[in-house]
Amino acid sequence: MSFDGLAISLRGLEKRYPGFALGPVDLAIEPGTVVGLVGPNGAGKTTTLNCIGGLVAPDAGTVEIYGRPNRPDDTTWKHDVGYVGEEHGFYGRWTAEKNLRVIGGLHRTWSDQRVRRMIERFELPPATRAMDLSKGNRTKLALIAALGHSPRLLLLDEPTSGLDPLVRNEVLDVLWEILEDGEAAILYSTHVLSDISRLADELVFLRQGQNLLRSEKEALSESWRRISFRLDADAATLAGTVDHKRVGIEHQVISSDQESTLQQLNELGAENIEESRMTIDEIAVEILRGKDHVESR
Amino acid sequence: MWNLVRLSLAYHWKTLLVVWIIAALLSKLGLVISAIVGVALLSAEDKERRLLLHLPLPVTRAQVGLSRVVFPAMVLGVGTAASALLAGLSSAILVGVGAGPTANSAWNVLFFATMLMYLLQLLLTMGELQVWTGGRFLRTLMGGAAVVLLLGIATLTWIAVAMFGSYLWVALGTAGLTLGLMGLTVSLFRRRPSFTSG
Repeated sequence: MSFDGLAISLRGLEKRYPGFALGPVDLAIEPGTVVGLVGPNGAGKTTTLNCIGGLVAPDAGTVEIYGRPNRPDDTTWKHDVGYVGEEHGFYGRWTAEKNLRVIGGLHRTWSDQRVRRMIERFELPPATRAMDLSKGNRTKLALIAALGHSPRLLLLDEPTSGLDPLVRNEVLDVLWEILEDGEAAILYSTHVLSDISRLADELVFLRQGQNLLRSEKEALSESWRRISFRLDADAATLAGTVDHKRVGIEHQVISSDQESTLQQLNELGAENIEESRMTIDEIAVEILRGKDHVESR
Repeated sequence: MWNLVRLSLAYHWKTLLVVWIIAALLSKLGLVISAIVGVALLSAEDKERRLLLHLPLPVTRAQVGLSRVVFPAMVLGVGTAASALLAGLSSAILVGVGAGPTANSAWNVLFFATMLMYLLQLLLTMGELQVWTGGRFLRTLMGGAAVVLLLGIATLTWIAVAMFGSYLWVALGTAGLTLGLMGLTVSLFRRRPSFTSG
């Protein structure tokens, strides 16, 4: 794989903490792609994003942003990056507007006009002190701060975590509008799978620090099916199945490769075959659970 | 680096103004208060998780680290300037009226501030060692040994220079050690394995 011209290239990224090890993770993200980093708590999503954003020093491996290593004493790569974590470090006693002004003062490509537009669109109260903003508004402020310099890469670490569903939808709506116009690549970590369903082109699944799978969202939707059928035989080893339930001759399987599964079922002479699409949330749950939960009753 | 220091000064200007007035009025006690407030304000910045705001910005990690040692130094530095100015003025007035200089002459204040600056930076180095080691015993021990070594060198330097030289040489030696400590703190900061905890 060529790593030239990529928004992000991770090669052999590793980070170890007591009781946790990330990687080695290899990941390449093309410009303009929205990639969701999906995994349960402790999967290594935040560590991966923090390694890319320069907040955590990897133990091994390299991180490149648009071809430049994210060295701590080089600022060129930072002009390309907007970062939103769960905590933001704003100057609490200063207003939202003043925080944005001082952040903008450090970016050479900062656009006051763009920021004003986002403040209006997000309905952020600019004259409110950062410490007095609601969690939702603090998130909005963080997003504006990260987008004010029109970064080519946006790193979002659970940006909607802890927000109520209404505010979360509002934030995602506006984020979607903003991102639709731009060419930025986005790496978005979350365990709220519905967020990802809306925004991501591709999904990367992490579990226990390991990269399990990377796939286009559409490809997942096309290949995964819930299939029920009648068959008086054991069907636990059907091609492509990741989950199997059986009551008598009634079977229900979840297949990650519907074509292979259906072909084999036809060959076995299964009857009453019915297939139904799965949501991305359901697929993600199955992927993260792994292939070790086939059960028979 | 100056941008970040300027931001901290602007953010805490009300507190700093009071501290610097106290430093001017209370002389050496005021300087001690300045040093303590400098460290306390840095701690307040950490409590607001300022690093999470600064590090993703287009500044180098060394610049962020440098701003963290320069800011408290500036708090003490400006306090010292205010105190030395007032001490100098008082002495000049007293000499003018024929009463002789006060014990807190400007030079006396500067010498005291130099010692205080060393202790302030030593405290910051120890704090950075604490973070850097992440509580791991061996590294902490090594860090502790390094601090003891630095303290030993400082003490011996003070004694040697005081025996053979003047207060000026003691002050210059201490200033040199202070700069060394600042460099060590910044170097440790740059090598922190993570900036997300605490």
